[in-house]
This record gives sequence, C-alpha cells and structure tokens, in this order.
Amino acid sequence: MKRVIAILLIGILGFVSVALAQKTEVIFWEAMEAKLGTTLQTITDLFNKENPNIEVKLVFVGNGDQLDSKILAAAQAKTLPTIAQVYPAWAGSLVAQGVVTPVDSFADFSSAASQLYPSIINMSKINGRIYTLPFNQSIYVLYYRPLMLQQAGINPPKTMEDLANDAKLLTVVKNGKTVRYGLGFRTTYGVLTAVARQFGGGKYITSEGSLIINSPENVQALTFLVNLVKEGYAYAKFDYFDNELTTSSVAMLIGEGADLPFDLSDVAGQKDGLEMTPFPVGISNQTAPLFRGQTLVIFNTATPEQQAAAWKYIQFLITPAVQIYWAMNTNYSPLNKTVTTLDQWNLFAQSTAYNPSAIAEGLANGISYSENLPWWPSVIDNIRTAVENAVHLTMTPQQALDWAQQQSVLAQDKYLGK
Amino acid sequence: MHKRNKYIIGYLYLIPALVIFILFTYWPAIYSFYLSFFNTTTSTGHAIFVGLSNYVYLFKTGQLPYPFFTAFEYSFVRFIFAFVISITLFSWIEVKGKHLLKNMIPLILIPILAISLIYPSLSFWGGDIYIVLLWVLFGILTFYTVRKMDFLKSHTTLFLLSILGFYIVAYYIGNRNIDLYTLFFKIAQNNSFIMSIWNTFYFVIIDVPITIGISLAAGLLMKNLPFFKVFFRTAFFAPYVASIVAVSLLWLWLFNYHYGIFNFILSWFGISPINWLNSASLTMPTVAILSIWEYFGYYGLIFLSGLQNIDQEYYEAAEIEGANSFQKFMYITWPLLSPITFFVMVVSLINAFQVFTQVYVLYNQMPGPYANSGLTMVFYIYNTFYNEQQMGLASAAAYILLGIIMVLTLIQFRTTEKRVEYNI
Repeated sequence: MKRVIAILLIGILGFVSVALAQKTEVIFWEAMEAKLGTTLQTITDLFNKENPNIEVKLVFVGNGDQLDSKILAAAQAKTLPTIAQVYPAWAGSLVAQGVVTPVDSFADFSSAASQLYPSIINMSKINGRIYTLPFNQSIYVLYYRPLMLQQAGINPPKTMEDLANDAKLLTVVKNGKTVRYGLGFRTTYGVLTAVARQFGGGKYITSEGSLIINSPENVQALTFLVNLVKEGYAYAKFDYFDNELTTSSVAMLIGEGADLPFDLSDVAGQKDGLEMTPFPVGISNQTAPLFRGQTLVIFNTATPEQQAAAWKYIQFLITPAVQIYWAMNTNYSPLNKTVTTLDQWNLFAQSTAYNPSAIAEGLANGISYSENLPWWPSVIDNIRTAVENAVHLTMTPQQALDWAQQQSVLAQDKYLGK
Repeated sequence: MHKRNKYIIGYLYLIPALVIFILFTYWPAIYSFYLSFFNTTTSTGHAIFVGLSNYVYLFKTGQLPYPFFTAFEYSFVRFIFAFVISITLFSWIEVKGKHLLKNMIPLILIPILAISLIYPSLSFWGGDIYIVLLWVLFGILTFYTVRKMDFLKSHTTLFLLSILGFYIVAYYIGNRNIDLYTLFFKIAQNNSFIMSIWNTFYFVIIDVPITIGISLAAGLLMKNLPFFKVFFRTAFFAPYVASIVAVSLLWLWLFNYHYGIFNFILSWFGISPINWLNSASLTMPTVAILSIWEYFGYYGLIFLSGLQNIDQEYYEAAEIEGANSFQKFMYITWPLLSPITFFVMVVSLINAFQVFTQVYVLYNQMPGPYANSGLTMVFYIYNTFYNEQQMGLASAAAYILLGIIMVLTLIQFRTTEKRVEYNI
C-alpha cells in the first residue's frame, strides 16, 4: 500500500512540475530577411533565456507582402499566430476585421509608450486607439559618396536648395554623355512623400478624410524632382541602384536607412564608401523625417496568456539596450527616446564611418509614410504611377498628381461603398 | 447485366479523381464567381453584396473628352474608306486593268470620290450623322458593284490586312484626336483594368504569331537535321523546364542597358543602345522576347511530333513528281500539320493571355518600368487581390479574362477548324 501511495505521489509531483514548467508559446510571424533575421533571432533568444516560462518562436514567412497575404489567409482560416509584423494599411484592415487586441489595453502600456517618441505612438492610432506598436521603422536619409563630394569641394547638403545645387555640381558629363549623375532616386511613393514633406506636403488625406494628393505642396515637390531629371542632374528609375553604386555613376542617393546594409555591399571594396546624412530640410527648416516600416500586432485569437507573453516580448523589444543593438545591426531607427542620450549609442555613432547618427535625428518630428487605412495600397500605387509618369515626362507633375487624386477618390468611394 | 457492372466499376474508379477536381478546382472557381458580386474591402469590415458593381467598376471610363458616338462616327467613316479602297484595289487585281470602260464607275470614279471625300469628312464635317449615312450608302454601292469577285473570297486575310492598312492611312489623314482607338487609349489612362486589357492584347499579338513561327521552324529543323538531333531537342526544350524566376537574373543582364549583350551586339551594327527594361513602349516586346524564348522549344517539340506523324509516302510521291522543298512544305507538310498548328494556336493563345511571371520577374515585381506599361490582366488580378485585398474585384476581373479567352477560343474554333485537315 505504501508503495502505491509513494508511486502516486511521485506521479502527481511529476505531473504538477511538468504542468508548471509548461511554457507559454508565442508565435511571431516575421519578414526579416538575411542579417535582419539573425539579429531578431539573437534578440529573441536573449528574451527566451531571460523568461524561462515564455517561448517566442520566430516564423519567417517571406518578405513583407508575402507575410501580409499569408495573414489574410490565416485570418479567414482562423489560424493566426500570436504576433505578426504588418504594414500600416494591413494593420488597418486587420483592425477592421476585429482580430487585433489594442496594445493600449495591456497593463503598463503608458510606461512603455512613454519610452517611445510621441510621433511613433501617433502612427499607431486607429479610430482613436493605439492598436499596434511600430518596430522595424526606417527613415529616409540622403546617401552620398564622400570622396566625390570632397573632390567637388562641397559638404553634404543640408537643405533642399543645396541638394539641387550639389546635384548639379556633382554631375559629370563626358563627350556629351552623362557618366555620373549628381543624384539618384527611386520613383516610389516613399521618395516623393519624403521630399514633399520638406515642401510642407507629404500628407495625402486630411483628418476629415478628404484626399489632397494634388495639393500645391505635393505638386511643388514632384516638380522639384522632375526638374532635376529634366536638367540632367538626377537619374530616376523604379529599380534599386545597385548597378549605379557598383559603377560609381551616382554621387548622392535618396534612400531609407534600412537600405544601407544592401547599398554598402554594392560599394564594398571601393576606395570611398557610402555615408549617410539626415534628409535635407525644406521650408520648415528642421529635420522632418519620413518613417517607413512595419508595425507589430497582437491577435485576439491567441489565449490571454499568449497575448500577455507577447506584450512582454514587445516591451522587451523597445527597451533601450535592444533598440541600440537592433539599430546598430540593421540600421533601422532606434524608437526609444533614451537611445540618443546613451553613451553606448553616441560612441557607436561617432566611431562608425557611415554616420549612423543620421538615422536617429529628428525622430520626434517624424510621420509615417502610410495611413492605417485598408484601401491605402491603391493610393500608394496611384502615386507611384504618377511619379513615374512625371519623371518620364509623359505627364506634367500637376497632371500626374491630378490623375492620382482622381483615381484614389475612386478607390476611397469604393471602400466607403459610395 | 455483367457489362453494366463493368461500367459502374469504371465510374467508381473515376470518383476519387472527380472529388479532388471538384474540391480543389471547380469549387474555388464557382466560389470566386460568387465572390465577384461582393465588395470585400469595406469600411464595415465585412463583405457586402454589391451585385454587378464590381464589373461596372472595372469598366468605369471616367470623363470622356468627347462622346463615344462621335468617336464611332469617325472610326466608321475611316472604316468605309478603307473598305472602298480595298475593294477597288482587289477589283483592279481581278480584272488586271482590262475592261476599264465597262468598269468605269467602280474602278475609277468610286476611289476618286472616296479619296476626295475622306479629308473633308474627317476634318470639317466630322461627326455629322448625314456624312456617316452618305458613307454607308457609298460602301453599299461599292460592295454591290463589285460583289461577284473570286479573288476577294479566296484572300480574306489579305483583304482584312488591306482594310487595316488603309484604316491607318485614313487615321493619319484626318483629325487623329477623335477615333475609337484614341478614345480607348484615353479611357485606358484613367482605368488600369482597361490598360491591362490593352497591354495583354498587345502582348498576345506580338507573342503568339512569332512563337508559332519560330517553333514551327524549330520543329522542322529538329526533324530534318542530319546529326545532333537529340542535342537540339534538349537544348530547345531546356528553357521550358528551367524555372523562369531563376533564368530571369540572366535575362536582366542580357537586357541591361549598359552592359547587356543585346546592346553589345546591336553596337556592332552601329545601333545605339536600347533601354530594354526602362522604356514603357518596349515593355511588352521585351516581355515577349523572354516568353518566346521560354516556350518555342515546347511548341517546337509538339510540331516535331506532328511532323513525324506525316506519312513519308506523300513526300516520296511528291519527289517523283518533281516538287521542290517549298512546294512540299506548302502542299504536304502545312495542310497535314494543320491539326497540330491549330492545337498550338489555341494553347499558345490561352497561355499568352495569362502572361504574368515574365513581367513580375523582369520588372522587380512591378507592372513595367513606368506608366503601368507592363500591367497585364493577370497582373491586375494579382495586384488587386494581394496588394489591395479586393477579392471581389479581382474575381470579377478574373471572370472577364475567362470570358475573353473563351470568346477568342470559340472564334478560333469557328473560323479555323474548317481549314484543318484531319486525315488518318
């Protein structure tokens, strides 16, 4: 009898200990490729080590667009993960479907939020509530080849006016053929928005919900870019600029901070590398960066324990130490306010050749490239097409943006069911 | 009884396959048709039944610079002009310039009248309904005076081409701003779906004839080569089995503006480099080059199998009669190959309408370098579905694509099947 009781006791003890040691599993669908992925894995491993009762599992699901479409399918099939990285428009769409837990409903949200720039918190507002927290956010900066600028005897441009002048000075024409363009930029929605922001535009919808894509400021910004192309000082195309960097045929490049790892590898082995400088300022006379990136959503389809664990993980991600590590390794901007005041960051920024301080400048004054609206991808498409048409001179900037406005109104009306 | 049991067992064997087909092919197809009547991305967060409005949305024209009917009138006048001149030309060929006095009216007066009328019709009187009626009368008159001609009937394709040619001439004579073609283009600028239809047709028109021509040549080559047959067969077929995504990297370099081999070869002939990948007007030709390269080996192999099925006796008989290789091709190979040619025509047309991957890989997942010049119908569907999440709209577009392919295949069957010689 004693033996039976002993066995029973041991059995119960064993069961209880297993039950207690049961880890809360957090499934994180992410889209961080190559080095970004390994950096995120290192951070996550650290979190798992510090929190033995939580296990965050990273599931890499291809690039951002692929991830978005996978989430769409998973939302229908009710097989959503615990957290995922999504673009702002998709966040809006998921919120509309009612599958997202607002992060402001978690305990100590306000203390977490107070660590971040208010601009970051504002980005996540949907219908007055904070549903998501941005994570991998990169700002538009100006890349330049330091040796080329040195040879021309100029410093990196500080204003939009300087940018235009320097592009002119840096352009090299041999035998009637341009062998080096002063400026290169991609014909994307983001580039126009980053430039338009310096002209007082860059916002395409009012708070009342009416579209203002063809506002005078936006037209002025597009005209600025188109003129540079027309005069032959800038080269614009949709594709990435890897060829031009490899062959040194552009001196300056408008790009995002997170492009750096890729762009640096394109100039690898060349005498002068690549450096960053904050985006040239326009009429506001202060750095006004444009954020582009994804945001983290916690799905309400997960169990409350999983959601709480996921929230803990997100809090960990925005701590200064993790933010510094993340920014150092990926060149995404550090979103925690205290980072720029820390010696560790400043030492890194000063000692690193490509000038990483550019990705942390003026963040309090930043806005997101995209609205949290499900139909915004159509607007992005229309504006991209408008930029392309204007830069390739098939339309004037005014015509192109008028066209984008008209097309986007159609998309909005369709969404609103008009 | 025993026999019927056998049938039942046969059908039972088919059922599993049928179930899989229904579950994974027909059901999604039917469901997406159902979905095409819903607006899936709405402010309410759930799908709303909207009837046919997705289909209407796809064909929304926006503001027209002039009414559709005006464009139709102008195009109609051009068409009749082309018709009258073509018919006269064909009559000239038929009578070979003889009996001029007898055919005075149809062969000399009508064309003179047409030529002297076309400019005023398209410039000062444009869009006047009476002028259009006059032209209609004119067309009927011409048709009646010369309807009994054999040459015309035996050369329909040539006749249609001639009409097209004269239409283009008329287009350049008059007010080019007003025409169905111009109007279509204006609408396409404001409606990316119509743009995608235009791009797809453009692609099909370049791609299908050239693919058939080259693959027929490849098939003939593979059959008649004395040695290295197996080598060429493998070499031509390799692009079809190679992953297009993988070979796209190669093609990106071939097409490269600065370092590409195409521009290098062109430079031997003193032709200045062509910006293959960054030019809106060259988007579809560039995509077609890649697509032709990918498929010609596959269709070539089908042609080869058809060629091998042709009985050698015909050729031997022809040789005894002293036919040359061209005659052998025209009178033996081409007619006897017609079932295969017909098959390849239908299949390659269906295939060409679904062009997507080639654009996707060549242009960095974008619909062409700029101005949506590479936006094909499937690309539009993909974009609407994946990027804009408008499943209803995408389904509606997919069904319109299906409709277009069905109608064109039907036309192919109706017009071409009569010419196909199924011997054996």
